[in-house]
Amino acid sequence: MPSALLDEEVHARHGRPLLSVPGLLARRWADLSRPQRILVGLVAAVVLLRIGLFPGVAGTPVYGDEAYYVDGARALSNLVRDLVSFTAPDTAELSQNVAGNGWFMPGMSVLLTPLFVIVPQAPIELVRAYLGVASTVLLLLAVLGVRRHLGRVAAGAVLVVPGLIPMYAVFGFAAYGDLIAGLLVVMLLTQAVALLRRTRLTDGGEHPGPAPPWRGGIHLGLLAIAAVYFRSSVSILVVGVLGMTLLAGLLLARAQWRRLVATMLAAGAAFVVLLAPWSAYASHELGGRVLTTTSVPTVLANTFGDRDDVCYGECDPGSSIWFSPLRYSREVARATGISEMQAAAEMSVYARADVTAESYARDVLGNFARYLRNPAGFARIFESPTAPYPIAEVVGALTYLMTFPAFLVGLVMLLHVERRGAGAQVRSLLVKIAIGALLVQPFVHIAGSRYWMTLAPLLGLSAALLHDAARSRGRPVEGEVAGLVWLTRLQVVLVVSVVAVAAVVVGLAV
Amino acid sequence: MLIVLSPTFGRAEPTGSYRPDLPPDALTNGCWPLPGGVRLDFGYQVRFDELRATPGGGQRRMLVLHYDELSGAAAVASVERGFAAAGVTDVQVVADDFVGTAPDAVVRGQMVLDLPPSRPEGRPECRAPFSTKKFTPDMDDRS
Repeated sequence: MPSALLDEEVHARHGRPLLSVPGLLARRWADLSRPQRILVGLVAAVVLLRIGLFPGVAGTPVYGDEAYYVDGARALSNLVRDLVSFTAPDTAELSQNVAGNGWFMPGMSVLLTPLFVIVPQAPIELVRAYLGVASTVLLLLAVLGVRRHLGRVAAGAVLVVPGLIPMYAVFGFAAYGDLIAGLLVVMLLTQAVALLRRTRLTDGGEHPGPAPPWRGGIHLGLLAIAAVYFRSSVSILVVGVLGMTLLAGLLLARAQWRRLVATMLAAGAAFVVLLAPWSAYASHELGGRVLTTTSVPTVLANTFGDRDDVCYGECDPGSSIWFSPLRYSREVARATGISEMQAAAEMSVYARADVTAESYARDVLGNFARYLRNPAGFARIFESPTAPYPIAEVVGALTYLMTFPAFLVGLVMLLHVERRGAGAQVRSLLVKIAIGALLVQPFVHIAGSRYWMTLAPLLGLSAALLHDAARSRGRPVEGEVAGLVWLTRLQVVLVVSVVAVAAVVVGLAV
Repeated sequence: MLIVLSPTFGRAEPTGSYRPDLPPDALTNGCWPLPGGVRLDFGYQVRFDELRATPGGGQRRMLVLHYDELSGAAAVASVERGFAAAGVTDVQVVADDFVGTAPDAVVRGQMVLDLPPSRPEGRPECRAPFSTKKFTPDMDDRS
């Protein structure tokens, strides 16, 4: 008996317990079951991978949109300083760095603010270390929720995909919001699963003293709005997941439907109350209506329109496809008094005048290719010039090996229909709607090598759900309410929609 | 505690690089105004301002701008009135309304002004291409 042996060691001297850390850890390890040991081992691997990669990315200067998020954090930290010292805030600095162009919501800036409150001149190495710790902690929190509500296999799957994908680990040191938004999406999904489980249990009156509905609703709403603050493109997902939760819940709840509606109203209220400050502030600073982001018109123009017509002809040379049109729209706003957003909207209409169904479909397929083909595209970008050892090649190779099978798993998940029990059906529906909503992005936005970071945890979850389905060979899930025919029909509707959209796009494009 | 003490740690310094100040307009920045000091009385965006060789071995100044909230004919008439009042004769102004824009669209068309050559200008503030709209071939095409 290993634990008995350890006991003797721990109590060896003078009959007093030796509270040595390795001893206690060894004892704790001995008490764990095999699945628990695997999970602990995976957590250790996740942490060690990040520690090993950190020297390779620590000195990488801020890249692209990271500049906005880090500047936003600096300005917000100054706001904190001004508030606690009863000084008037620097509104011009906040406007320039937090409202900015209204392209990005400041979730990442808020996350980084505590660092700049304590270390206003934080060097990039410290910024990257902070981000690495924050993203790792959030991954582990998400995994804890997954373990509680979806089981150990799902938790292990998320620790492997995306936890052990090297590019995903590298991206944890980046100030882009895509990765964090994806983890918040997982937390939103697990909360939705938990809510629906409670809904079913309370239905029969078997579950004593359920939590008041507003509490679960506010929890859902907070996770939803947090995800949107990190990456406003998940707005579609949030609407889809909350909508599907309500729909599936109504099918499950029967007599308890009022309770469920109250919960979802609370979720919606929490979402709107926390979205409002950003919308109001950005609208005020930019002189026009901003809900989440101002970037949509220029995004559509660059993605589907004629880039040589975005500024009624070519935009200024010497800067990017984002900053040149922005400058032009600001010039129009200055000359005429309309908002730069309205100017951008009119520019976008002009640039897209020649878009046809066929050209749109071809561009969508091109976006999907960009979304999927180079998952390690950021490996070289985030390799630090001062890296003691190169990481880009190894990160690239391992990332390709892990992500392409994971993408395939996501595709199978989109096509799989679950009938084995109401819980399994709900999990399948929620993961499907989440993956489907994220894949709307190539239909509206130029895709790139970092968008799969938001999707990645859902691929791990999909692997676990499919593994569970394959192992059961169609037997009903034990302890679960029998599958509902309407929950099957909803899945079929989603599968058919996916296949139909894919067929139409491919048909038009070729 | 750390938050209360934070003002004593110094201030963070945002770069503002994602929202640079909008540089002054090409015709009013004091570098290369229109001949005769003519000012345009309608909204416009200068697109580029460059010297072009003429077949006779001379040079002409080619200024291209987009005009806002009026027709090309009205814009040309306004510019010609301005030049006439300033006694500038050696100019040609042509405008083309954009095709396919909404009737209430703000930006309406493109105007080309064929002007006498501008003099060299060495002041540092006149070297900012996003303000002067004098682009050099080494600047990447944005598309």
